Amino acid sequence: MDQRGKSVSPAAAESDEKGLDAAITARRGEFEVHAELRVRPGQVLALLGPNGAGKSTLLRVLGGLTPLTAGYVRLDGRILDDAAEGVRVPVAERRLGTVFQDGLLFPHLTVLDNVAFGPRHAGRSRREARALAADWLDRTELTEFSDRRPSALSGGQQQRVAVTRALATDPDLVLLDEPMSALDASAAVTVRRFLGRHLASVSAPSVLVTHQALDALALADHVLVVEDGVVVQEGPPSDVARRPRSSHVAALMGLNLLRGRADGVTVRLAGDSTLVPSGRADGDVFASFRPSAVTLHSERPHASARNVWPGRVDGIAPHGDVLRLHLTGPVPLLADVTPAALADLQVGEGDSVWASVKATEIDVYPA
Amino acid sequence: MSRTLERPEAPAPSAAVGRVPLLMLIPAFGALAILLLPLIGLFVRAPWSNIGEQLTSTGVTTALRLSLTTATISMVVCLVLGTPLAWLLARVDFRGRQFVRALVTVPLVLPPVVGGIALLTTFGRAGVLGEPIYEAFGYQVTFTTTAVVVAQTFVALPFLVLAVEGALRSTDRRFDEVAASLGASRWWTFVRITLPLAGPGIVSGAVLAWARALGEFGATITFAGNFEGTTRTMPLEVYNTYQTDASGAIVVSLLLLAVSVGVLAALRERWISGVSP
Repeated sequence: MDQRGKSVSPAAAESDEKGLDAAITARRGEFEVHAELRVRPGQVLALLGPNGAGKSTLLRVLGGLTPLTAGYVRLDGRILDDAAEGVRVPVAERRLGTVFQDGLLFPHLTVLDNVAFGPRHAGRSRREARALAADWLDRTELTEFSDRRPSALSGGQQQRVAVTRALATDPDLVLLDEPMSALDASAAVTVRRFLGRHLASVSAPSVLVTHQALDALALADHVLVVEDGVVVQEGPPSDVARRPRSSHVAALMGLNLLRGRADGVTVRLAGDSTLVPSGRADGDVFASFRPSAVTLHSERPHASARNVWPGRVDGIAPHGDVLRLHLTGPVPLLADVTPAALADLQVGEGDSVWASVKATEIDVYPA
Repeated sequence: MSRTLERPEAPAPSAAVGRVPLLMLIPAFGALAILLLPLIGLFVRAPWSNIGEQLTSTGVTTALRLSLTTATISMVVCLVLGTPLAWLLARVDFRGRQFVRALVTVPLVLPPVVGGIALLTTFGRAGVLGEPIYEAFGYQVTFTTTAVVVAQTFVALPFLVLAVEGALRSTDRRFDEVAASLGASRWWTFVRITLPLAGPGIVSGAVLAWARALGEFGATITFAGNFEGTTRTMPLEVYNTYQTDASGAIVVSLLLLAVSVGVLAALRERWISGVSP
């Protein structure tokens, strides 16, 4: 893909800039996915969103498996895709390290040969590739599995081998497609910790696709929230976790999220409800607070709390060592109460309650 | 011979689904009878007393050697040419793929003798391609052992292509993507990933093609002729012997039967049982 002597669109000009720089528009069946991604070397970007939001399509574009309909992908200044110029570097020449959802270790090769596969195709001799693979398995503490076939490993072990195989290619870009979603909870914990440890030593940019908030919080330096093919929020994981900008992210983070219009002191919510935060706010705003900040009452409270709404208990489910109640009503809420508190209240599913939230517990930020 | 053989047996259906209906059982036995009765007849009428000298006659051993050699060469030709065609049909989206696949199946339904005539009109001394070749090089393929291989390949190739295409389709394409993402070219992905994963299916395709080549008669006798030592394969030997000596033909037939069943059984032992994960 020699670009010299060709006119290159300004957006996709070759540059010396390190890392990943992409503006992607791609089709996925009926709908279009669009996102702009920038990842510096050694950083991890998480694409967080519900299933079918288009995040895997973005990853497939970066991986060269799906063509983009507009935009470009540039890695360390090298153009991988440019829709305007019709440039599309083949998958094998992108220097990627990809980890797929269900590992996809080659079933007919041993663990060692799976890991050696990438180095072998980067032009090393069989012996060199094997030695390198053995080094990597040593580094990732998987040496004991070297001679086994993938079918003899557990899901979590397979996925750790798959990560090792991806890193052993010495990639320019690491792509992780829902690497924990096919695993049971305890294996997911192990693999997440494993990824955290080994991604930290990678000098290339990494892109992680996940629908689990925890994955993004634990592994990413920056988060893009993708819903219905567009980026609805982006920022450091702590910001996204504290100040969600969509009900989906709020649900992922376990937060209540309300939207309304503020006139300085009061926020007018949908319907006729109002909310009073502790500080001043103007214009369209989001208000978020933790379910544990919600207090429930069987009678309308007369106390100082200014944020009081009626509701009906729609569901009760255990959540850690508390119970999480789903309330419907003018202001739908999640509320966490202790089993003892719920017994005192004497309410069950279908009963009416009053919910109150202290103004100081509410975080209000511009929409 | 298909991959289903290696899968674990499905649990036996419980008696709750009811008895096996006679409407299924009776035709099934009819089918078995049609398949097996003629073979039994062959055994019953075989001249067991002097079978030894019949089997070791020069005509038979020559024909057997020729058959085994040509069928094996045809199988190799089918593998070398047919596997890439099967891969193209299974893995590459190109215009007219359905049409090409339909073309491949034509020799499957064509009567072999018609295939022989078609080969003759193309590669024969006066054929479309045969004539210019003969005039330029003084070489004609008809009535040579090469013609036997050409005829056998013509009839056996569809079996191999269809079997291998099926095998390639049933391997997970995502392994191709994984290999590519690890830097492997399409060629090396094919060699190191696709081929091994489709291995059992390719072996059964090759066995099918070999068996079909071994039994080839119509196209061979039309296109290659019937000359002892060069083109008279086992099926032609059976036909030839039958003109003068019916019981001799039975012996040769039994030998052909034994060889094909023996090879199939050996391959099944060697491959089909050996590949299960």
